[in-house]
Amino acid sequence: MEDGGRMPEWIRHCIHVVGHMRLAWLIGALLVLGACSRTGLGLEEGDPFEPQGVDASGGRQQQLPRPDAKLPDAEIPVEPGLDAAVPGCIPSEEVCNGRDDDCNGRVDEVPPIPCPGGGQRYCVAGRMSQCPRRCDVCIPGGERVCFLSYCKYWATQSCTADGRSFGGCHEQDPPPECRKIANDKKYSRELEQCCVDNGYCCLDEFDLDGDRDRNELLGNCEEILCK
Amino acid sequence: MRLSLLAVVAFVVLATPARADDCARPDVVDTMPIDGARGVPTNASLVARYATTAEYFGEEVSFGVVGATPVALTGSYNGAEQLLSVIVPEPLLAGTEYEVEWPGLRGLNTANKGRSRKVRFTAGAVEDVEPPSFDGLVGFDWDYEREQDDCTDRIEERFVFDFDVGVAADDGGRDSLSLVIFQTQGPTVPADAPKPIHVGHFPAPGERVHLVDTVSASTGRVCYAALARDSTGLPSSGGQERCTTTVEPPFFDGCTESGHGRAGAATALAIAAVLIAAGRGRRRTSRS
Repeated sequence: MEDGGRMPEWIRHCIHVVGHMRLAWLIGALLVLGACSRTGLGLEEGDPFEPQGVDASGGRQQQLPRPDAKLPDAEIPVEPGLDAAVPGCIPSEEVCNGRDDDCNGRVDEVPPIPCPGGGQRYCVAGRMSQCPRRCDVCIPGGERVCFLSYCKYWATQSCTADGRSFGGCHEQDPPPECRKIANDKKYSRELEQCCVDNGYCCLDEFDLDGDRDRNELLGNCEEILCK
Repeated sequence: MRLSLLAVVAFVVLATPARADDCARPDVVDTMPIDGARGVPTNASLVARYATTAEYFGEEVSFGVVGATPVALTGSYNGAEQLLSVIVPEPLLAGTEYEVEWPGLRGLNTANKGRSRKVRFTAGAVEDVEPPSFDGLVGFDWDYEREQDDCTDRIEERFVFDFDVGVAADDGGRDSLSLVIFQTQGPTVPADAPKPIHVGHFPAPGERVHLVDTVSASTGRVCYAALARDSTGLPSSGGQERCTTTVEPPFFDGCTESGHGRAGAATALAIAAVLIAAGRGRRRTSRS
């Protein structure tokens, strides 16, 4: 320390230099972070693509594949060829991934896969679709038996015209074979068992099969369930 | 006395829940090509889509040149998509008008036979060889709907979607294309497997495709994509997704789920009680 409390000149010079180095480190770190976020390195592991798609209301979303994304075995590109139609594109086998792998200017032109029950699976939005199903939930007009905790304890529900849901649970007289059980046991497992045993299609409200699924159907449901 | 008896009978008849005849009837709901289509490729297969309940038992499809004696063809039924298709034995003759009559089918859960449909179309001069090109969905609007259901005889809540489709082209002509729509994101759709939700004729320019879905399957973030399929079944390449976020309005549906009669009676009693109370209130007001 010099007289008057002042630092020596060489110490002040050192502090100045160190300060500049810190600033340089900070700027360097920020640049690296910025570059990572632009290339998608900051995405979560296991998510090979950022969300695709364009918002129907006009908002755009990005469609950037992760450069380090691990593709499933079926999607590993084959050895690149030399006849790329798109400049800068390295052709490989076309697979369903939302990209123009074979560099012909078209995306995902992969053949559909036949389904065992009819129809085909298609490549759409970079993924292979499910096989088509006859209906979502139930065959329109089909009826299942449901149970109520009051009055007659027996009720029915109809499948909606579009097969996408069941309607309300409408109270009904129990059939003769289950009337006594309904009177004696009321809203009970025994009543559901009677429903199943007598050839009705019954909502498994009491989980008779012990699989913890109380929304499934038990009994004779051939004409109600989508196949 | 007679009048009041008639009124009572009419009330009972109208108030009794009865299934509409339309419930589950296995009608023809769509055809490809559509009625009046022109330039249908000479190698096109003919397809009709039936309602969900339809069952095919080998019913014959009538086909022939307009004005000539038709021939009976046996179709091939794809129960997963409810599509009945026939392959014409000879290539279609360019410029010739044909008529095909799709049979009414029997169905599950209904005693009614479905309605048949007659379709006329004119053959073009080309063969359909190349897959179509298609820009996919351009956008869509959604809304919330409460409509009387023919099968449950009560109000059902649904989201409705109106889709706009992009430009499509095919060597077999636009009229011969069909449209397949998929839900690619949603509460009941696995992330890696879009769900097919619609197959139908390709809409005319400016026409929108109207679809409904349950509230549970389409509330929140939902995305859709579509592809075009030509008359030989070749698809366009996979379309781009269009997404939005839907919101379920908090509609009040009463306090009971046990049936219309009961709900109606409860509502009537509640209204009567309110009216009586209001009447008393008014009387009290007039006295004071």
